[in-house]
Amino acid sequence: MTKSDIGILIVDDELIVRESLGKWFREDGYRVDTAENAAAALRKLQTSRWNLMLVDIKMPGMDGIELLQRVRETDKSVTVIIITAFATVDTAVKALKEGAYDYITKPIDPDYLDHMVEKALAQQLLAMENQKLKDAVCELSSGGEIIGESPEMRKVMELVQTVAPTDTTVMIRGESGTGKELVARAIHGGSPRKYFPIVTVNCGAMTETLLESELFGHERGAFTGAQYRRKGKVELADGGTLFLDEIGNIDAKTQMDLLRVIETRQFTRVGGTEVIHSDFRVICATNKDLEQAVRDGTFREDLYYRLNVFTIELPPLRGRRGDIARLAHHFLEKFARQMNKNVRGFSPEAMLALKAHDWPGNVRELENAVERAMVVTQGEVIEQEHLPLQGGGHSVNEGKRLEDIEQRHIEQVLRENGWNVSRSAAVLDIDRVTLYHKIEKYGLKRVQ
Amino acid sequence: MNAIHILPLGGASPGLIDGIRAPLRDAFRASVDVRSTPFALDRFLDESRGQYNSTSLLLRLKEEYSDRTVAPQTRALAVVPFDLFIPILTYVFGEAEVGGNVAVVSYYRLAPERYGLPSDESLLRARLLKEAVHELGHAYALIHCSSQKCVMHASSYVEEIDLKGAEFCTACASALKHHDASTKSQASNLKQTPRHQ
Repeated sequence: MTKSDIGILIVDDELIVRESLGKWFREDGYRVDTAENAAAALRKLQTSRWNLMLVDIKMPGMDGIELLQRVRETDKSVTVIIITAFATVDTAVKALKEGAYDYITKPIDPDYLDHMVEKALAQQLLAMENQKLKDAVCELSSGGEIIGESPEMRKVMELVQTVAPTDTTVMIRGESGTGKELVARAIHGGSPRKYFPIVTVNCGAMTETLLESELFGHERGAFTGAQYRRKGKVELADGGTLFLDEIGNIDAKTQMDLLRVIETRQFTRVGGTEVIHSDFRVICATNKDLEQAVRDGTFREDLYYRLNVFTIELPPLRGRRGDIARLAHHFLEKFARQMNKNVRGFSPEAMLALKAHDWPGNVRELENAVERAMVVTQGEVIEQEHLPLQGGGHSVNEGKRLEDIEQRHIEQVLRENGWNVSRSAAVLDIDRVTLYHKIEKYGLKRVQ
Repeated sequence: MNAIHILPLGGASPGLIDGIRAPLRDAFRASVDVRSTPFALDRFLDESRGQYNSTSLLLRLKEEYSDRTVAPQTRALAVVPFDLFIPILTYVFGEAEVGGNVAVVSYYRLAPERYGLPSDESLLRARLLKEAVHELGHAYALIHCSSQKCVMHASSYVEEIDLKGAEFCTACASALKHHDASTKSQASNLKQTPRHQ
């Protein structure tokens, strides 16, 4: 921001003061205007943006204090400096209580005036930058990706909004692919902890020792390969949220460690002795029947009650079919943008097939299906045969291994490119040698 | 060509004024003359403050140097030995209208002895020159510069004047050159336009 972008409005009933101060700040390169009374100042506030106002406290009609109150009611971002005579310092103190940045007494020391204005504007710039960053964080952490107008999802969103501002532990339950992590992020994004990180731990993806080190960190030399001290996820979540995904998969020892850290917010790194404090909120997710696990003795009852404070159940996609079309269009727009394709929608048959499908893999499966259809379609509309659904291509219930999907995809691309390996490799964004290896590995043959 | 008229008022020191003539000529590539403009100064004195109102003085100078009486490239600089103020501020070293044709500078607060230090004629002259260039810079449409070495950097106390140089930074020098060029072009247009009597 250059000085000519900064607007200073001088409000004083004395012409000589308006002219003197106006000239003083114009020499600095600021955009300056003057107003002879509060009413004129309020009019100028409506028509232009002002960063700073210098307001005389004693003016006929509406005085400086009342003007200050009116300005604070309409635009809190404007910095107001009150100009006063020695005799009215008490009133100036009142102005400070009303939200004025500072006050200066007449006649003003030029050095003091320059420094005060520079300091006020620097502070305002910082506040503006801070607000911009906060807005950016809000945007990033908001639950913008949660799509759904069905009564089931509306209820979920209501629960999210209710629990988000609190510090309550939340358990999110639902089948795989229903969007549990998105809901966790929405809760974090709506909480006062949103300016700190949300740290995700996928408890199901790690062995007992790895999970312990992942959660609590380790000291150098704690085990073979621990060459450096490393902070754990619990420590990294300090101030923010710890999201424990697939909590039903953790072993007995980690359950005990986790219970202790949730109760005390204290822990030690693996191989260390220093007690570390961390202030975090817990959100966990599972698709397992934890009550049955408690009955079976594979999940600690005390930990279960610690975690199961506020539960949000996510409905499976087949339980909210009304959202399928909206979600499908959302993913279509997303992938069209990402792949820079001009695909505008689904054919009526394709949409019917989407709505009729059972979606055992839930929203994640729908997203993958739309992505795949987007890859294979050449026109502006996704047809039923582009969708990897029963009766419309390959079934998602069979061949769900990554290799199966890769094989099908490579075969499809080769077919579309008339088995031209160079062209197909370019489409797949791999080199020709790799493509030859894959053709050999999957035993792909051109069908005449 | 630019022309600068130095107007010593209130018994300003001829020696000091003589000392800034040549540097001003170099700074603005202008002819520099010392002119006498006798007019009463009492009306600008605020007895309660013991200072002279620089804004009123500037307005009076503007009457002498109105657009009709002097060429567009001419600037008048009044040099005064007394303290100046503008009503809202406690004091000013000088005043000028940005893009106007008159400026005033005071050396009252520039003298080292004002701060209990031994008299130093060369330091006083250096400070006066910087403030004279600064105010004339405003008259040639320059605004304050963020470069601390540039003569157009704002100074509200003498130590700040000592920190900056008497020269324009590259950006201000370029702006001054651009202003000169546009003023000359305006002047030449005026000459070519037939006057309606």
